[in-house]
Amino acid sequence: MVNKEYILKRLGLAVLVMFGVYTIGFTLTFVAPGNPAQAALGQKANKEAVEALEEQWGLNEPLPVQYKNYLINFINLDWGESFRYRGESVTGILASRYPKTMYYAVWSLVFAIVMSIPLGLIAAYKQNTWVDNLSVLVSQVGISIPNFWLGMLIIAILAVWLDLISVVPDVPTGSLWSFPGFFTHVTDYFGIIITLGTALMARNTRMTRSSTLDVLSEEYITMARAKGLKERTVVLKHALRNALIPVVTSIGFNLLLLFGGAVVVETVFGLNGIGKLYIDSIIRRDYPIIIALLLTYTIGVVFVNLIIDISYSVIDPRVQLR
Amino acid sequence: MPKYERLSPEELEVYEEFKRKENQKIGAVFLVVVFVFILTKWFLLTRGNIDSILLRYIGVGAYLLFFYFFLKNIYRWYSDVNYRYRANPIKRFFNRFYKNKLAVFGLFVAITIIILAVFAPMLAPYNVDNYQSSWTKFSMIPPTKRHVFGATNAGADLFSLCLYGARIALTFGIGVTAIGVSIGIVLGLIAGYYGGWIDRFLQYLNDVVMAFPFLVLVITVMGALLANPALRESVTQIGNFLNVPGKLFIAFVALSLFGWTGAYRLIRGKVFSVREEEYIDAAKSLGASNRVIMTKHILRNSLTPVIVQASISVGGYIITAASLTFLGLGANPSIPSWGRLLSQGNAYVTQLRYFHLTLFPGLFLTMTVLAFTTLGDGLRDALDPTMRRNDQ
Repeated sequence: MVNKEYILKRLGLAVLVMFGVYTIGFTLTFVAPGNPAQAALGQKANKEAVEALEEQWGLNEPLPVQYKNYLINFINLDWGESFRYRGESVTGILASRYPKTMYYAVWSLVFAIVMSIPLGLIAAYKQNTWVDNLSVLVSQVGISIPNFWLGMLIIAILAVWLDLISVVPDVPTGSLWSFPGFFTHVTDYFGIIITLGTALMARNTRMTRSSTLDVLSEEYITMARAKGLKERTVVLKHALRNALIPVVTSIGFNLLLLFGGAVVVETVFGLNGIGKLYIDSIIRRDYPIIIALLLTYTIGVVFVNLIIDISYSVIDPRVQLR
Repeated sequence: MPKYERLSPEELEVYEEFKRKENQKIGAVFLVVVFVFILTKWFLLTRGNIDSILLRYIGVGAYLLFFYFFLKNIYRWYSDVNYRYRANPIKRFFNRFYKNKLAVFGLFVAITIIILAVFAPMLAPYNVDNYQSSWTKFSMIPPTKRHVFGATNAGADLFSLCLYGARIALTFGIGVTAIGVSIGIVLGLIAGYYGGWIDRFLQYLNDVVMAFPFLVLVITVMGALLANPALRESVTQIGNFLNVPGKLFIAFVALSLFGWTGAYRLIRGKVFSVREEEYIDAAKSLGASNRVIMTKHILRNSLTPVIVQASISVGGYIITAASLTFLGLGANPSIPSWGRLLSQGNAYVTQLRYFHLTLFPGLFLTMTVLAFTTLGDGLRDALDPTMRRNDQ
């Protein structure tokens, strides 16, 4: 049964965390004066025009008032205008950048999960054999390799030297999320999918391996074998299901890692996703975009986590949500 | 049974006296050896004395080996004099550790990188701190005999730059970890021991920090510190006081500010489980103060996972610092660092003849991170084999 009280409690906590994220984001962006209105109009702009723009953007108010106003506007879904791209709404910019990053984020997650579960499972099943050693080595290297360097290696080796993949795809974001396009465009973004997916793959392989090792030593596995079930059934039906719990639970954390990865890797691949947008906004002090990106992304991750936790209590009645 | 416990009281007294005198001698010899080491390091092994790169390498190797034997014999002398029988946990630890080949590899690479970083000015064939305008004729050359890894855009030797880059990477990795772990331990102890609203507040802060990807948080802090003249000025002044270039110090502060959550969570959780143990009650009933209980009983029992986590996070911070520099937010351009070399490599990544610019700094970076990760894993297995391995 889904515990309603628990969901309400989690939602309340999520709102509190969002508030904290907003406060940190606001403090870190607005505390820096670096005049965005002057920057937007150029150094030669006259004083009146700059002041008019500051008033239009609400920058002349005292900080606590700005803090309140921004929060209220954000909740009312009025996210204002970008400081850098004059006249463009923040909502419009985010709507054009999010689908792209989400596209390769989803595929990286798919790549990571599809690769890591068999590898981790086999490694745990054949513990201390060459397969196990290989999986440990792969996951250690995968965790340790900096994603931007991996991206550069992929470009240099796969794209330039062997000419297997293309690096600068110009794909309209609309077709990414249509039916055949979702699958056919994988080749265009192959490089970045592998780059972002490797670190997740390494983490998930480690996790699958260790949780499978734990599960395989449980008594119900011995029981299943004693019943005379086929080894295949024991591993795939009894062990795998329980071994996957930590992997699926960490999907939200994986999404967080993907955002952190996209910030650097999109620069390497020259893609205009949210990672590149974030870096550019930080450098040009584009406050509305910084705040909106931080909040939308963290809200997304918090809700993914919540959905995963709730669906667990539905699938596995032993999981008690408190 | 230890031999000397069969001694008579008079003999024991003589033995204790002998031990005290021997230990004084050992201490004096140890100090002299260290002093000689430091002195000769400056006088013998400077660039001017030895011309050939190879000779210098052999010289430094032999020099290190020489002092290694000295220290080893001093240690033997010490352990002979202070012989005591006990089940040796250190020996057990090393036995377990050496079985893990990946961890031994990690230890070896980590020590090598540390030596390379410390002795970079002696080992590097070119002094890249002092740029010569005549080097421009070497601009972008591929690996040759004189430039083992090739040269950069400005003609500086890539191998020397990689060696110097190790200094900044290790400073970041180890320094940030040390600060983060110290803050984390203090906050974790406070939260776990006192509980109540302090604990709830710190837990909330931890949740908020964890809601950001670490790199994104650090970039945001960097952006704020760099854009605010007053803040930047004050941080830079502290940096100048510590003799660190301004932008580098800002990056260091930005990383350290949020690096405490890992150690904090470990210590807090451990305190919660340890404080219910009976020996804490026993200590309390004997009148031990809060400070003694925290440092002597709780901290000592929860340090193992923190050590392991610290070793693994050194690699993570090295990557984060390199990413920052790669994006142009980290170390000053004048300081040789792997991130900056790679960002130069990225500009030429589509031209295969300049691949050395991408390959070598990246290899150094990856090997260093890999070394600390595997080392941490080996430590975890050796220190506490029952510890679960699926935490993040």
